[in-house]
Amino acid sequence: MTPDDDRLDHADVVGDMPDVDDAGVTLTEETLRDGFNAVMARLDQLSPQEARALGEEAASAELAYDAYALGMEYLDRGELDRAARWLRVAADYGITGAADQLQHVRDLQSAVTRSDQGALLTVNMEPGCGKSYWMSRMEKVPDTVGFQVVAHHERRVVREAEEEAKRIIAEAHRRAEEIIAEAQLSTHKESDTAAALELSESRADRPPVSLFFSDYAASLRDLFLVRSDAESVVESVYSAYARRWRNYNNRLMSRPGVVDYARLVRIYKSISDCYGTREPYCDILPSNVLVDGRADYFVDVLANLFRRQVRDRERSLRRPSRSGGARRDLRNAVGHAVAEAVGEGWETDNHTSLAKLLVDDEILVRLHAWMATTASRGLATFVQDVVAEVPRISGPQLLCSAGRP
Amino acid sequence: MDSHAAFYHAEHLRLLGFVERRVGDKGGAEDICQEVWMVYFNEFGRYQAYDHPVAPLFAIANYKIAKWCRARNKVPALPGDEILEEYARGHAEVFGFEERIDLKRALARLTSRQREALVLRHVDDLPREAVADLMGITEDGVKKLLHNAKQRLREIPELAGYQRPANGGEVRK
Repeated sequence: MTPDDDRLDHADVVGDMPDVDDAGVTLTEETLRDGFNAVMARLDQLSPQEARALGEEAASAELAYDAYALGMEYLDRGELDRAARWLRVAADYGITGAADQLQHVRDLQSAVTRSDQGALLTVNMEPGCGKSYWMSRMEKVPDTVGFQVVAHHERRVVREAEEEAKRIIAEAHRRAEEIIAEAQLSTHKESDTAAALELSESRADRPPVSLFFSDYAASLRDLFLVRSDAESVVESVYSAYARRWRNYNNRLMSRPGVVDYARLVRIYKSISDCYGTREPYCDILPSNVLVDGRADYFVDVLANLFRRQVRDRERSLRRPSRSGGARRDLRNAVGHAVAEAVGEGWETDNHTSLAKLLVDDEILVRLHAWMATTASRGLATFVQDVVAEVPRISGPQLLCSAGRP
Repeated sequence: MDSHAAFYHAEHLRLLGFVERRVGDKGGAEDICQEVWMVYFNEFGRYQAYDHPVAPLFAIANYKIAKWCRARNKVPALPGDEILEEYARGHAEVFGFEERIDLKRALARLTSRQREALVLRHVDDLPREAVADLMGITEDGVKKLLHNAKQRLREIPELAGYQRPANGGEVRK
């Protein structure tokens, strides 16, 4: 850049900002010369250690800007922990703006944590990405169950999982038809045929395992919290799920067939913690459960587990408060207008007015946080239905909406 | 005059102003500047090979200012709006009380990054590449920030009644 370029650049805003000549800082030639000589004299007297220390300071000063750039890069990617780490370094070294950005990242982190849950709705079908993959992911998930903003690149995995789930549904239909046909062919007696048909229909009615798990986990958690008996939990959840699945299936409704493996593991861990056991909990959840797992197997394993744990139960579970403060909490979380729309929609069973207000990712995050903690399941279910109708939250959108320049 | 001295004479005044505006203490600013120059001259050969040898000088200055502030339990901060106002007023002498209030309101609408870019570029008078280095962005990013800042200032209702005269100052329509 030439000095002329510099001047031209100034000319762009010269109407808004003046030149530095107005700064009022002036030094005589003699002062300048003295200052320079003093610096050079001190430099000449430096010991090797002192010179090395100066070199380290120079490196630190440059590192600070790299740290800032790195922090911003991670922030753009939605990796908040790493962004916070590097922005903290940059702020410590005095990079202007780093402290603001760090605060911004912390706000985002607390928004995610406030949502008070951590279901990573992702699944990986590829070989070699089983338990260890999920366990490593779980270290990053908050301690409670629910929703978490998923990084952008993970959405691709979710989409793939949805497609895979659709494929599994189609495969289940095809296999059910094959079973029926085989049963019809393999027997000549009418009674035997009827029995085979009954059996095969029963199997055909069974929902694909991929659809089962995420709902199972959610229902299990709810029932678990109100201290239902474990065996009835398993049975009722599964039968309720099977009923719902048939409805979905009959109406050809599409559902996201993703397995919430991390969530299941966490639930099991909560169960273990509550019952004061320290048994390893991962072994009961095969990493390939989605691909070739069987619902029967899973239910049997979990039912046995419950029987044992209920027998050994040593301390009671905490039950969430069911006071009438759900709406007040909602108002505190998302403001008067949205809370009013929720109440109105709930009473009139009308989603329209609420859906119109759900245009802000921040509100969606707050709603998810409220849903995860409220004792009013009916209201929460209503909100969840409405939220499901609006576009999904995206990390980058959330970052942008929070006002980062 | 050798290259060290020439560089010192060319940049010291700007460096001193940069530091003084941030620490608000003339004596402290001179001490910091001397330390900055020691670090810079210790690596002088390496820095002179850079595309923009000035940029590391101000990076080191920022680092030293942060250390200085930490030692005094202060938070390093960008010069406030009053400095931008002061320069704008000094430049456009027609500014009166009413206009100063308008300008204050207008500057408050800028984002912190836009304000930072304006201060570094036009108050600290740093070359664009040094601003880019100091803000951890590219030169294009700096251009964009400055452009957006100007755009925002022009779109602000408080300044809508002003037009730019031929000599660069602002006068009311």
